[in-house]
Amino acid sequence: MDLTPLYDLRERLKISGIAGTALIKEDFRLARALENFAPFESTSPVFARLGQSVRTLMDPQCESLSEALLDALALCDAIIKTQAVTGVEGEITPFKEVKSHVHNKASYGEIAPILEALTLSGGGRYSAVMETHRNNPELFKDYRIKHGLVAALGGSYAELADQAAEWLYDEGMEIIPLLKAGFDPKGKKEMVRRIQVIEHVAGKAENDFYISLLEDSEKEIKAAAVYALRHSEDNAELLLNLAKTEKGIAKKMAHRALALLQSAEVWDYWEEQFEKSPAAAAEYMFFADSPRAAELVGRKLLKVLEPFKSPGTVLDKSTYELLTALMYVVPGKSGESICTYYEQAAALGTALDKPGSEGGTPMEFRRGHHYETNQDYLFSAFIPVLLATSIVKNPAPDLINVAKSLYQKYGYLYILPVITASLITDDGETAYKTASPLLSPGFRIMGPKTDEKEALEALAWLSKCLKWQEGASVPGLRIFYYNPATDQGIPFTRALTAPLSSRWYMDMLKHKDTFIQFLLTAGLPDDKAVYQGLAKFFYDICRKEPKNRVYVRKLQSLGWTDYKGFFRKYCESQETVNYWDVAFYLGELPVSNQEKVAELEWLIKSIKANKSKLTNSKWEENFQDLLKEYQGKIS
Amino acid sequence: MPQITEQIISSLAPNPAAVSNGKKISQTGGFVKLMQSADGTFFWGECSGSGKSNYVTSADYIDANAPVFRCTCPSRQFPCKHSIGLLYEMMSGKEFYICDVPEDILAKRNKKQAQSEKAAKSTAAEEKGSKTPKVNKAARTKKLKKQLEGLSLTSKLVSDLLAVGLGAMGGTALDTYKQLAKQLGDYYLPGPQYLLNKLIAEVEEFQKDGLDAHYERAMQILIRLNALVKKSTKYLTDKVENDDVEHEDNLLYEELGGVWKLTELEALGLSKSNASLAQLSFWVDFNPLSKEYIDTGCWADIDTGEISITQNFRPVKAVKYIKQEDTVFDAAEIPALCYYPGDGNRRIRWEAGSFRPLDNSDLEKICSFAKGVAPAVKEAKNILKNTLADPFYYTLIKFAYIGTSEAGTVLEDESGERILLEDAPGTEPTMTRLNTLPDTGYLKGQVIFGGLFYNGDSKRISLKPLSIITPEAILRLLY
Repeated sequence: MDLTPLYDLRERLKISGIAGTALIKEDFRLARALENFAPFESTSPVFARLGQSVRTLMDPQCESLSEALLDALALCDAIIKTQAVTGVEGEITPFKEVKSHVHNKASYGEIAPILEALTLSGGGRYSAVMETHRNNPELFKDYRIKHGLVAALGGSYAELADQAAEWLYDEGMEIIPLLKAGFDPKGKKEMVRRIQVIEHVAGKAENDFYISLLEDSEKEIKAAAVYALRHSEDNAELLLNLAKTEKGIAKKMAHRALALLQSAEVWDYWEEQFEKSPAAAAEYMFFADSPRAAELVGRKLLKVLEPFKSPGTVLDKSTYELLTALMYVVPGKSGESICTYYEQAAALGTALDKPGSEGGTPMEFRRGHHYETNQDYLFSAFIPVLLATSIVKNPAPDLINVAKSLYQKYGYLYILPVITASLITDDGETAYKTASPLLSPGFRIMGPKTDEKEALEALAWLSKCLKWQEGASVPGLRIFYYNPATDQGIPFTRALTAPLSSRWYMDMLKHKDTFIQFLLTAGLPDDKAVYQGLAKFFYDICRKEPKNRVYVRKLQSLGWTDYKGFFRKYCESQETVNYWDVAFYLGELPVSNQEKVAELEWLIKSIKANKSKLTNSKWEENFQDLLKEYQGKIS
Repeated sequence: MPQITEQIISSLAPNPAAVSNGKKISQTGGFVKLMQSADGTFFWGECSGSGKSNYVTSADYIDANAPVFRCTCPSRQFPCKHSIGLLYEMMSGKEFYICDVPEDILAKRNKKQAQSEKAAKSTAAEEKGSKTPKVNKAARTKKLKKQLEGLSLTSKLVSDLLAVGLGAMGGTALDTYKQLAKQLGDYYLPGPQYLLNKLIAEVEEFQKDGLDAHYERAMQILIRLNALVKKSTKYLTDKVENDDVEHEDNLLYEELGGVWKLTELEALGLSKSNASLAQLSFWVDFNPLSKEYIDTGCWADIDTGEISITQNFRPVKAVKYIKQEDTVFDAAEIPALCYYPGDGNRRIRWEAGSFRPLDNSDLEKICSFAKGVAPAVKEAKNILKNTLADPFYYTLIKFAYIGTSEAGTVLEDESGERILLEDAPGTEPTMTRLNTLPDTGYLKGQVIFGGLFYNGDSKRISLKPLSIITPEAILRLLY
């Protein structure tokens, strides 16, 4: 039965409620709806009752219009609900099997806090999620958490969104249907991240999906879809078209995607772009791993150097900017033209170090975005750092060979790339031999400037790049760069081939301040002399530095036992004594309870004699209680 | 030593955070000393905390059904995380050294026993006299009359409001309605007062976003308010005229805002002895208007298949002091189960109970109560058509398979009847979870538990899925 007249009547009654019952008697639309409904009245008593109740409502004699209206609506709703349909036509397709998800017998108290942290806003969510993941990783495999992870992609807290993406990567292809379910091409950040997860997991398998988003999608979503087209060489023509027809971010992404393809037609396009605007084209070569990309960049760099072969040519601003743009994308690139560039740049010596104009300052090459150290270099000093960084990213034989040949030709100025290559390709002993001149005390590679302060410090570069990652068995060399596609900082670490020998550590101790951070975190060789040397090294620091918790912990791990005077110095170094701070320090100090009692007795005496001031005068009692506690431990 | 399970700990804990914190204390070796009485009724431990000295935590199991927890920590949560930690120590079978029950605990035990004996005596005396609790007739009659006054005021308010129409309910008029809604509090009518506030909130929302859906919801509130006022007026008038002020098995008492005591429900015969219940679904809602959390559990009576609801209201102001309910995986054995008046899924409550593992025979029994689509929908329509009914009718449906069609996700039963599965507005979504089930076997030939509801947009009865029940497990789409 077509119930449209019933629904129309209900709608008109509702509108009467909104417009006011005072107008009901003149409501010709309601009268017409009732008229259309009239044929139903003969089919069922309940329909007849409804018709009658509306007539009562419209009767001029009706005393309580509001009651009559609401009664009619209540009856109408009851009828509509009893007449509601349930049937569904059409073929039913089964759901796809998803094997990676599990069913945990996990309660609301376990699941809901994770979902809330993933999907709502507010502080402390990231640490809550991370802690739960650390303690109960199985909960994150629960099928109820998956949509929360997807929703977290749209979160305002980028770290959490990135972490959610990482976990979704691990799900593999089975997560794709969930990422595509409810995908909104007009959506916001969540949809962009969904595409990024899909393309990371599925690559070219979802090419049709990316293409489907090129029409009628939001700007950012379209851009992400365009960038995802890089997974298939078949998209070369489409991307070339998009690079020409699109504007703004979509055009930029088309270019980034094109730089990652290998097709000959694409690289013909880049030849043209390098001719038109080399600096702009160079920007896209950052991640390009095609030999053609390296060849193009190298060739352009050589062209830039050409005029400097004539004596007297100065580095002007536009050349400097082009050189900066091109060298920004050099790390990791190898090949003939790149190696020739290193050779010719080295051969130019200090030709580009001179000021661009008379009385001006020399132009320096910033660390750009992909070096661990934050230092500016003159051109002649920058080339070895560039080569060393490039070798960390890509230890290609031709780069290593060029490093060795430049070291032979120009001496210590090129020791850094050679040490870098040796650390990541040779055995420990060879690497030590290569590095030993640099590790000798007082060794300095003097840059082209006579001012020692601004001289190149290869040691500093090495100490900052050398990192010990938690859980690793060998140190690594770490460089840092920004992904221009996402504007995210990315640390890149290449592990050394062998652990550093005892001799490395003993030499590092000679450069105390330079390697202190590494020595604090590094795993140590099984060598008593190294342990003793390090312990003495940190003990000396502690004696100078009263606020020394971090060094005390290290000392303790090295088996050091002499902590005499530490506590008194710690207390004396503070303007006022904070009970919690001092109690925590004493609690951590690896001395006997008897010694702790003696130290506390001294402190209490000192407080009473007004030699030590308390931050809060009430804390004297706390110290007395603490003393009793330690005394109790002795007995 | 009393038998301790995760479920028991969870049921004793004030909230899930206390469970996880207590567990952490136990796992990280927080207890430095563990002792117990020789008779296994008293347990205590020394636990290191953030305070300068250790906390002393104890669990007194002299009454195994109602253990008493004590702790020297300053927490106002009860039992605190240290007490929960002690339970975990007991559960994990840690070694407790034998000690005497401390003097102060013995004194407390004696005091408690004396109180229980006194209470038992007074109950016995009451039972001798009359089965129903004493009622102050004059006070109740006065209250009923006051309520009638309030209902008359509400009726006038609705009439005035509709005379000018919902469309005119803005600006200063809205302020007047807010004041009137506040006044209803003086007439012991929190139920109608809540509906009026809800109506005002919808109109305010409409003024912000201009969505017609607010008017539709506002009209539904008015329909409900009108029905409540009419039915309640008749019900209360009859009571006053007949001088019958006793509570009855009637839904209106609660709808008006009355709060049932378990003794009153028992006196009305709304109770069952030795009920076995299995929780099929659990969730927590937040009502921004009343500013309270509502913990809702859906339970199946393992013997009869009746689906009932537990609701635990936790106002934001008192949220720290009211225990948050949680998922229950075990079967609950309830010696005295009380039902609230009403049709459909009745609300239930109980004072004390115990847990036992839910086994396959329980699940098979629950599955045996499932119906096909057509009878389930027929039952639902009979309930949902009532103006004062809840918007959901929770039920068990046996299905052949669940899959997708052009219209959406569809369930088909063995007789070929179909129903659309969808999320209801304003409820936590479950539909996306059907996409991520660990095994598609759950979607063939099983029993689904969910809420049937009327979808005004599609003019359909749809099912909001909540759990899938197999003879081996309950797969919860929520919690």
